[in-house]
Amino acid sequence: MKGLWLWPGIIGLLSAIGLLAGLVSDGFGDAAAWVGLGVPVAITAWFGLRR
Amino acid sequence: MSPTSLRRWSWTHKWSSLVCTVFMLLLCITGLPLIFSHEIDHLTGNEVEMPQLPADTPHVSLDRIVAAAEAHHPDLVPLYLFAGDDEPDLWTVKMDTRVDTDERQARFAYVDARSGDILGEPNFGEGFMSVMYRLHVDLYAGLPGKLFLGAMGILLLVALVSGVVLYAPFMRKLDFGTVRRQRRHTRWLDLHNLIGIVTLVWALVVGFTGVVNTWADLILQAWQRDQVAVLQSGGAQTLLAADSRLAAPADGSLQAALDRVMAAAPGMKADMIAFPGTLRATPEHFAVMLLGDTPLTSRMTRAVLVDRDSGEVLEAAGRPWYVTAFMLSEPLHFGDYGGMPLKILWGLLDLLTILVLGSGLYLWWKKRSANAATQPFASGVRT
Repeated sequence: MKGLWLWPGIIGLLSAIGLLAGLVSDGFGDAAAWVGLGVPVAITAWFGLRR
Repeated sequence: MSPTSLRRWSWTHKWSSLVCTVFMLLLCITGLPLIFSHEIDHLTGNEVEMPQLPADTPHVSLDRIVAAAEAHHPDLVPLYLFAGDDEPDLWTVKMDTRVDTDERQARFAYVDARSGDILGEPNFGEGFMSVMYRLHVDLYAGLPGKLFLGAMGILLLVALVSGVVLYAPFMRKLDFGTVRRQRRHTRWLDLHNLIGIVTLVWALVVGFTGVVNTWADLILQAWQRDQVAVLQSGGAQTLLAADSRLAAPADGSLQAALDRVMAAAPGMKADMIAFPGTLRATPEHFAVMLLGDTPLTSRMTRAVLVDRDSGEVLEAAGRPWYVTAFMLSEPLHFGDYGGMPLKILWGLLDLLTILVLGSGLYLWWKKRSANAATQPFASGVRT
């Protein structure tokens, strides 16, 4: 059960940090937003397009 | 999870999704160009051409700006003046037949802040982007349309939460990221689960803030009532007394009123000015929305009221929590606070959401026809 939620939890946390970081700071915060929200897109591409 | 609760959650997920899916597809498709509306307007030449004038050309009085707009739309009265986002020498004047209309037929005028010349009108009411905007915001039905889309958004949130609950029983025997490609059905089921779970937080935030945005009119009306109530009870904080000579005394003009606001709130920038009687002001006061200069405060306006006749500048208590929530909901829904990379990610996440919606619809359809095929005599009976 723990393993089931490990990756979704990490990805969700990164997205949340990214969404807020871009709002409270420019520069570093924007970069954090790109990373935080880039992760779900990259993971979908990795597993979805893998043969 | 017991079979009963699994069945209940499945029922919740199926029906909350089915009811809202068509509208969510519409919102995702129309939202995609809206993410890039600034760039699209720029490319299609839908922006104002600012005349070349020497840098630091002083601005004319705001009353001349308003007079120019009134001459341009002779039968209309001014409602709001908006400062240009990245064009400091531009005012956009919003006008309508009365100050208290629902503003659906409002007209606009662009006015050069340096010369008082009319620079044209934004064509908000026509063209491709306008259609996208209305379909996304109110389905051409005004407040009822907004509230309807808000209700669909609440169903989306229910679908997201029930989807998370169902993720566990479906994924118990599979590693994270598994996509079983042998059969089309399992491939789309696994992709639905994978994309749904990795985009979950973004979808919850964009969905929830979208719902909050549908309440914008109601929130602003409540704020206005609050402010008027505070003013009437004498509870407002005076930032600049009527007899203060920190700025020139009021003479009924807009410019004098704004000068007094800027004297009362140094270091801030006027983002929007609302005329007395409009949704964002009170019957007797101009409201001036001020912006701060940090990334967060530049998103959060501070509303200051100025009495048109006496020149007294007031702030009716702090911004209530529900207005703060509304103001934060705008950037978190639009994705316009982190430059072009964030907009592109917003667009990609929007496309992924379309995949989740589409695969969900496909899975429901396949299951439905499979049930019909295996139980030909069970139609009408609960299966």
